[in-house]
Amino acid sequence: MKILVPIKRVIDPSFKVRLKPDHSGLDMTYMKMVMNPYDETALAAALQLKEQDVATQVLTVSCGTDDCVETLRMSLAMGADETLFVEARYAMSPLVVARLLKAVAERENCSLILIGRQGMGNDGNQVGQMLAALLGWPCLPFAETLTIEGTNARARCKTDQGFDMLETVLPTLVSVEIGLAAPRYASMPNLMKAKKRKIPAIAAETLGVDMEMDVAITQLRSQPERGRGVILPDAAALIDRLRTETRII
Amino acid sequence: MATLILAEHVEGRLSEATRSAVTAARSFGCDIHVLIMASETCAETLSQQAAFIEGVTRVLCVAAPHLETQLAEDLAVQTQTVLERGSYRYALMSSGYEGKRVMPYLAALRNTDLVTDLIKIEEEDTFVRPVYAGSLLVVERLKSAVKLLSIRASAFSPAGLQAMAAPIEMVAPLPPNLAVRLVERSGKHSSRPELSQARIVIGYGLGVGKNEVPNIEKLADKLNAAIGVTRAVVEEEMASSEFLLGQTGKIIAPELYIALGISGAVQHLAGIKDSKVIVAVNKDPNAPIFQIANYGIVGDVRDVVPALIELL
Repeated sequence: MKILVPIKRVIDPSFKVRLKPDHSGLDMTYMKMVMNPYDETALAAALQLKEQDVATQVLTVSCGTDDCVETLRMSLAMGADETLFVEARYAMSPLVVARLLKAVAERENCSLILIGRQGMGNDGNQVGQMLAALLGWPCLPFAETLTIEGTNARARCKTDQGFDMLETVLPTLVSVEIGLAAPRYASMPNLMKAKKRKIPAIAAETLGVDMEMDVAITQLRSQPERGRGVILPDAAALIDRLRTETRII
Repeated sequence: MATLILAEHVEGRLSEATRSAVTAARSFGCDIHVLIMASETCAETLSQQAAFIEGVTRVLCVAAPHLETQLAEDLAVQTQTVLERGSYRYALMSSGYEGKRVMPYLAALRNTDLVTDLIKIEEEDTFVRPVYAGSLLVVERLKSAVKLLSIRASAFSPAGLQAMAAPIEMVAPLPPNLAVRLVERSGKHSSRPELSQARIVIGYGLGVGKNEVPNIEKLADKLNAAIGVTRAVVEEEMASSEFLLGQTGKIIAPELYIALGISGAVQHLAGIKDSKVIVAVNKDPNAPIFQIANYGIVGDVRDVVPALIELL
C-alpha cells in the first residue's frame, strides 16, 4: 500500500506576521519557512504505518513554486521514500490544489492519503475534505488516532461535542490533527543524503486539471490590536472593577 | 432567490450557531430557508424551532433514520440536491467542526471554491476572514453563482424569534452513504455551559498545576463559566482536546475571559482575543497576555483563585 502525504510550506507559526507598509502582501523579511506542522504530523503517522508493515511506500507531494523543493527535501530527510514536486507558478485556491492532488493520487495509485487538517497561516481547512469528495473516497476528518488493519481504517475524529470514532474501508483520506503522531526529526546524515537526491518535478499543466479559481484575494488588512489594560493589586480590586466597570458579574 | 442555511443541532435542539447564521444571511436581503436534516424522532421539533427564528421564510425538513449520525457525506449530498432544485444564491453554516466537515465537501461536489470562517460580509460577493491566527484579515471575492460560505458564529449575534412561524416543507431523503460507519460518539453531559456559547470562560495553562484544577472548577461553578485550556494542558492529558482554546481548537468571544497561568502564545491568543473583556493572572509580569488584557493581576493563581472564590 502506498500512502500519499501532501506537504505545504508555511511561515513558521511562531513568527508574528506583518503586512508590508503598502499592504500589498506579507512582509517576508526575517520570516522563516517550515513544513506545515499538521503535514509534519501526517508524515510521521505515515512513516509509523510503514514501520508497522501496514504500508509499503510513503510518497510526499507539494504543489507550488520552486521553494517547495526545500520542504520536500526535508520530507525525504525525515524518512519519506519518494517525493514529487508539482510546479505551479502562482497562488492556487484550495479547490485547484485538491484537483492537482487528485490527479497525483490517481497517477501514483495511492490507497491512503494522510493530510494535515489545515495549512497554518491560511487556516482554510478545505483541501482534505475537497480531495476526498473529488476522489469519491470516504474521509476521516480531524483524526486524533488512527489504526489500520487489513483494508479497514478506524480513527477518532474531533467534533464540536467531543469525538466520533469512525470506521471505513480503504482507499480513504485521513485529515490529521496535531498529536496523531510525534513529528520526526531529520538527522544530519539523512539531511546530507536528502541533499543529494534529485527531486522529480512535473508541471501542473501536464496533469490536465482545471486551474480556474472562483475565489480571489482582493485585499489584506491588519487587525486592530487590543490595547494594554491596567494591572490591579489583588482579587478584591479585580472583582470591584468587574462589578462597577464591566457589569459582567 | 434565497439563502440556504444548513441547521446544526445536538440532541434535538438547534444550536445557537444556526441562529447566528440566520443573522449573517439577513444581510443578503433574500429569502432565508433553513434546511433541517435529522432523524425522524427530532426532525419535527427542530423544524418548529427553526420556523420561529426571526427572518426565516421557509423550513425544509429531511427526516431519515441515517441522518441521526450527521455524517458529512450524507449532509453534503442531501444539501446538493436541495441546492439543485431551488434557486439559491448562497448556502451557509457555521465554521465549527461540522461546518468544516461538510462545506468543503459540498463545495467539491459542486466544483466550486468557498469562503470559510468569515467574520464580516462586505458586499454581496466579498467577505472578510481572519488568517495567521487572527493577526491579519483577508478580503476574498467569490464569483460562483451559488456562493458557499461558512461563518464564524461568534462574529454574528444569534437571531431572535418571530411571532409567525415560517412554513415547513418536507423533502425526500436520499439513501445513506454507507462508506463511513459511526462506531462510537462521545457524549459528555457537563453541567457547565458550552465553551463556544458561555458568557464567561475561564482558561488555564500548564503553569497552574494539577492541584489547582478543583479550585478553578469551583470558581467556574460560581460564575457559571465554561472552562478551556491551552495546548500544553491537552498534551499533558490534563484535559481532553474538546476544551482546547486557540488557533487549532475553539475560537470564542465571550463577554469575559479569565486567563489563569497562561503566558499568551500567538496560537492561544488567536482563540480568545475577540473576548469583550480579558482578565489575566500570571506570576510573570512580562507575560504577553498582559499586553491584551483589560485587567491583570501579577500573582500566583494558587493565591488569586481562592481569593476570588471567597469574594464572589
